[in-house]
Amino acid sequence: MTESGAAGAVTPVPSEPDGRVFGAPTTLRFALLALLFVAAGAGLSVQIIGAVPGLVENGWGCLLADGHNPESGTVLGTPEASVEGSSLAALRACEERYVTHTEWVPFAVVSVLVLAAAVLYRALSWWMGRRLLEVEQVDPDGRLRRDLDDLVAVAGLGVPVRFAIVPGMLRSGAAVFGTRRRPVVRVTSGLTVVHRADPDRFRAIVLHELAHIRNGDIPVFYATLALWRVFLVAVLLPAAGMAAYQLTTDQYPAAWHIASLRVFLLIEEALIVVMVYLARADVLRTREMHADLTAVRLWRMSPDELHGGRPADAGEPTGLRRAVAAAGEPWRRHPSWPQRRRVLVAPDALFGTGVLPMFTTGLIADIFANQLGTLLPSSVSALGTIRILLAAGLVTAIGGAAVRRAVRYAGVRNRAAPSGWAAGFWLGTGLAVGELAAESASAGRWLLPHPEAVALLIAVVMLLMAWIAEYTGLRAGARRGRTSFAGTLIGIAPAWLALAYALSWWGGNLLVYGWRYNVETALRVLEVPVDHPPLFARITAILPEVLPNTGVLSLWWSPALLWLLPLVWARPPGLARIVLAGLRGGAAACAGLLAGRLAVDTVRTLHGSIFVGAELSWILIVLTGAMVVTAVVVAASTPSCPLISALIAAGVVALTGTLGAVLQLVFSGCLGPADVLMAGHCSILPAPLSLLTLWTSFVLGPAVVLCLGAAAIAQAARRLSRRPTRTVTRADAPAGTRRRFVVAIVVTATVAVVTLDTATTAEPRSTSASAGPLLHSGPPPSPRTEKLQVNAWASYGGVDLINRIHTMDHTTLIDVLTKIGRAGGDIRSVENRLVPPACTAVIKLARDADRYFLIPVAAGRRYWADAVAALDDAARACHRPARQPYAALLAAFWDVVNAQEAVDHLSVWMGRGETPLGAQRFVAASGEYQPLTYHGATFRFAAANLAVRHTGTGAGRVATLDAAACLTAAPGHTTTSGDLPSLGDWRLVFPDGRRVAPVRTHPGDVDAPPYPAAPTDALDATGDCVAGRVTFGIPAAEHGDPRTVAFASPQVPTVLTWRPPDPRSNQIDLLGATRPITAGDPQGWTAVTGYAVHTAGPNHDHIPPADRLATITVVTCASGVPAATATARRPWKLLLADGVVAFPVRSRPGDRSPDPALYPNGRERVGPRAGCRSGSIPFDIPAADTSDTVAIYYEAPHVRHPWRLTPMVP
Amino acid sequence: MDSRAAHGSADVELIDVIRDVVADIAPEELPLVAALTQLSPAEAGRRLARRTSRDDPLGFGMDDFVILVVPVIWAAVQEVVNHLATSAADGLVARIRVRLRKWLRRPEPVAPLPHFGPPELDEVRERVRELAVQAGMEPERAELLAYKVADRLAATGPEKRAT
Repeated sequence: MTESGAAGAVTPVPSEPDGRVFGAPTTLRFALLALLFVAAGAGLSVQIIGAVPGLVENGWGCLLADGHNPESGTVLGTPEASVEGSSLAALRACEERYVTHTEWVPFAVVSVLVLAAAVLYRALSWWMGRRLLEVEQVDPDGRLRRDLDDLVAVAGLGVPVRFAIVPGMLRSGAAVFGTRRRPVVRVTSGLTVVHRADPDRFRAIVLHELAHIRNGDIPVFYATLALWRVFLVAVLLPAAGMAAYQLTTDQYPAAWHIASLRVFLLIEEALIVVMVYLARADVLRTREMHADLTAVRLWRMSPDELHGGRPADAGEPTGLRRAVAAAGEPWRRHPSWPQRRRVLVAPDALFGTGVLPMFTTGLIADIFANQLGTLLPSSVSALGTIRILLAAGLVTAIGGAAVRRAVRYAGVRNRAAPSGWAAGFWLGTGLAVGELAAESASAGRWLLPHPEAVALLIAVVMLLMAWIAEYTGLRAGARRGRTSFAGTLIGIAPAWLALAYALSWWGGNLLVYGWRYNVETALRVLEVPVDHPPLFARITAILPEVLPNTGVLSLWWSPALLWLLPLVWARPPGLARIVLAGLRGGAAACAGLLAGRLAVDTVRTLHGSIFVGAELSWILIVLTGAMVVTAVVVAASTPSCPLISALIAAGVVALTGTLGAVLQLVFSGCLGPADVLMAGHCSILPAPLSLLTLWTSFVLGPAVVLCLGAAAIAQAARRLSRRPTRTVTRADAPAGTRRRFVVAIVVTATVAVVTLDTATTAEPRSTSASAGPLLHSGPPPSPRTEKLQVNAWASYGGVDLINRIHTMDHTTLIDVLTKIGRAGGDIRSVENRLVPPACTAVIKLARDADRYFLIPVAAGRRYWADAVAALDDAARACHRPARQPYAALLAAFWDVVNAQEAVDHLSVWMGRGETPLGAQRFVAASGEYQPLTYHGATFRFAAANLAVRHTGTGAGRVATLDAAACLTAAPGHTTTSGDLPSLGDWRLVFPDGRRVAPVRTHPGDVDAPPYPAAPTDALDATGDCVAGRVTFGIPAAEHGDPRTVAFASPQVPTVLTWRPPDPRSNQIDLLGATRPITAGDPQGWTAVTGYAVHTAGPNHDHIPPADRLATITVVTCASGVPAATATARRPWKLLLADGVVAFPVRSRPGDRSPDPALYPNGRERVGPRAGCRSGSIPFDIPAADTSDTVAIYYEAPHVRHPWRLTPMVP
Repeated sequence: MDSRAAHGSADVELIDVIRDVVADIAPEELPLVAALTQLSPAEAGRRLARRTSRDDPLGFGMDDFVILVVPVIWAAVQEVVNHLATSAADGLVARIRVRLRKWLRRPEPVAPLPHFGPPELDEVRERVRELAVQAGMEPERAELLAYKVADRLAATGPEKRAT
């Protein structure tokens, strides 16, 4: 570390401390900048790569498809961010399939960046060294060379220094570059003139440059510069360009989940640029002042020499110029001359903890930690811990070193030591601002619900800096003016680890989204249903959630170092008194523990439920309470080192109390009323280790931080109360202390407000069942997020599955069924060859669909659930015994058709397809038996219910025909079933002459028709008949509707045909009877009260003109079935005279309801028919269909017997 | 300008004049002159005219422009030379030639000083005085400088060389 190196290099400690005595903490700040470039290079490069469409997939889409809500205020990928119905298995499968493995990218980028920076580092040296002249070229008499050599000898650098001349440059300046071992001082021609005209000034300038070399500024500065330029050109500009491009083009690939994040990316980059520039300029200014000091103090140069004889107020602006200069100061790389002069006279400015360095350090460290997540992901806990340790280490080392320097400088100067509050405040504010910015960016919104929660973070940093100040003061008192690397490390390490602990706690809690613990849910989990639970019960319920993780990596033990280290290493004055106070507090804690039984009994049974965990809760309450009270008392009564004294006392309380609690557990059952565990008999038990670990982790971890905060407040209160009587000995004291009081009050008030605010806003919130018992779920997704989620669902496999369902229906199964139907000879072997692969495909499809995400948005989820259920049915049908392979496949086919209907609905809902029912057109024909006598037998053939179904995608259509062929033997003849013509002899004839054969032609093996009308309903197939539904697969190339149904059999000498009649419209009215919905449920019934058919006019935008619209008016009074089921309109169908079945459609003009399953305009009834709903259900009757309705069907899963109502024609 | 003036003083360059004058009245600037001789005349002129201040990182940070004789002489003489110059260097072809030379990194031709007649010498004297005073030089010193420069230039005439 800089401090020790500097201290070692300086032999005599001058009476007036210069900047090098305590080291300049700027090397660490340079290191922080360099680390930021590296980490941000890795982080941003991954973002750039992720934003290139189609290049890589980072898994956002899978998370969205799973229903994760980026706006929920939680980190995507965590359980809290998901919603009900998310599937971890589907998520993993999606990630497995889509996510590109880019883990190597950040490491490759970092390697390239560092390599490029190394090349640039050398190139910079070369660039600055070109076109320079050697001193000898301009120095004929050798005077310049002699003087330069003399100055190098004075400086005693130990490395050869090369001087070079910039020809023709009139400024009297110089600059250093090169490398640490081969430094070069570039001297302008102007300075060579000054060499003779003003030798003192020449000496000052050259010595200043040599001081830069001595202070090791060259490698640090140029390495940072090289890294910065590489980072700027190779990472920052491409990232900004990418974000800006995406903003203007408004196209976001799935990898780029939220549009607004691009804005945040730009802001983050701008923030990095500004912060880096400010921090670098600040560090450079500090380095310049240190170079001045080095030249003046070590090489005995007078400030006036350096100053060049300017008057003391030279360059000191006044009025408005002063304000402008002050505003411009942070951006300058060199300090203003007045400031340099002030530092030369009294270097106080170098030993302060300035606002800007602290703030930029905090902010940059936070950006660094966040960007480092790409290299060290938190998903691996050890890496996450390392990341936090790094960030906390940089914050503490830079801030802590500054505080330590300030304290030690004040000690040397005999001034009041700074408290560290201000440094902590600005450091913490930087950290908090970075944290807020990062959270805003990851949540994709500007305002977080509770930004004030970061005050806790600020408070923790302030407390830790105050601790460092106190500890440094203690140690400095013991070892005046001397320090070592080990000493610095020891003085900072506890605060470092404690900050890392606080940061890891902070990262896991994210209080900016609101208080995350819900007492009522916690009580419910404990099965204690209480309306107004006592405070003790509330604490007990919530405690398991706030207890720290007891793993070593969670650093719970680190706050204990805050009191252990001073106790053994730097004993504060009055240690005996402090320990005594701690012992008293411990005794009080033990007394409280003995009363535990009483307290626990008050909540042991609440409303008859056993309340568990109260014993542990009591121990923690008593120990923490005793620690906090002791800390407050000690802090308020100790004038010097109040914080450390209070912590030591609290630590003694923790130790004593823990010992007492362990004894109480060990002797459980022997203490009578003082027993806390309900042990049956007196016996010595080993204390349960898990319990011990739990409370130890609490009293050594969070409780210590609480004590630190309480002690700080007590200290502030004490100072406030004593202030009027205090003797002010130093002129600068009152302003400083007043400021500290104000800061203390502000912080205390803020922490109190935040705590109250978060605690009070917590209670009314409800919790989501899936989000863990105690965690609040985030807000519901916005419509935009829902759209993104549905799009992701579709993009990451949903559309694939939909297409597969269509293909399965139209191509695969129909193809197989047709092939089997056309097969001659050994049908069975064909079946055995073709059906198993088809069934395997069906089963695989069903499995894939089942394993895929449910649609994240509830409104669409139902359709997908229907499809999945139908596919499940199909898979089950395919699992039937192998003796009926064709029947199994046909059943599966119809189930797939149902699945397809569901995904058609889904497509409409997603805005991806046409109206599914509008795309299904039924053309129909009715047929009568046509008798034919042949070979001494009478054949009768009939066909009905020709239905052609368009299924939405244009991949083909399905036609079904109910057909029958009956044979009556003439007297004296006998017939066998083999005499019957095959059903496969039916053909559909299209206007273009194409004839389409059925997909199934095997007589006697016709599967039951899947949909309500049995063929015998339409065709009276009495006698020796074959009858059934014949399925035709109409190829996609065939666009027309079948014009004719033809029957041609080898056994029949003629071709029978029949055509459908022409369209027409009609209107009829009827009143229907009531029918029970469910068997044995007298209350639940439904009735059709009206029926009308009218020709739809051109105004009906949902129905093409010349189609007809039939409506039935329905009343349903349901009991025993959910209203949504009872009033579903899907079970209703119209059977037209030609056998065609019409389905309900969403076709009421103006009816935009996305849910075609419910009565569209249903109303709740009041009065005698209370509880009933009524509404009208529209049916679309295609133009091609001219038939009247012959029946209204009602068939639903909950209805035992489907019923049928015949409308009466008036 | 006649041909005599154009080629009259091919052996004497501006830098020689400056060196002589500086050695006489401002010897502390001799290293600057020595450095300038390492540059091409055009480059040297550009650098002397450059007055921008740069905040060099790891520099001293408080760089001043020292009052110098060299840039004053250079600027004044160059002005008069330019005035004397014909359109030889004007025109597109000449400019292209200059540009090409730069690209090919060919050295620029040495610019010989033309002959300074009495009117030109008067003009030089006047400009040196003006510029020196503008640069902050005391009037007496400026006057001295002006006469030194004019004297030196008068000594570069062809008749001097012929003798």
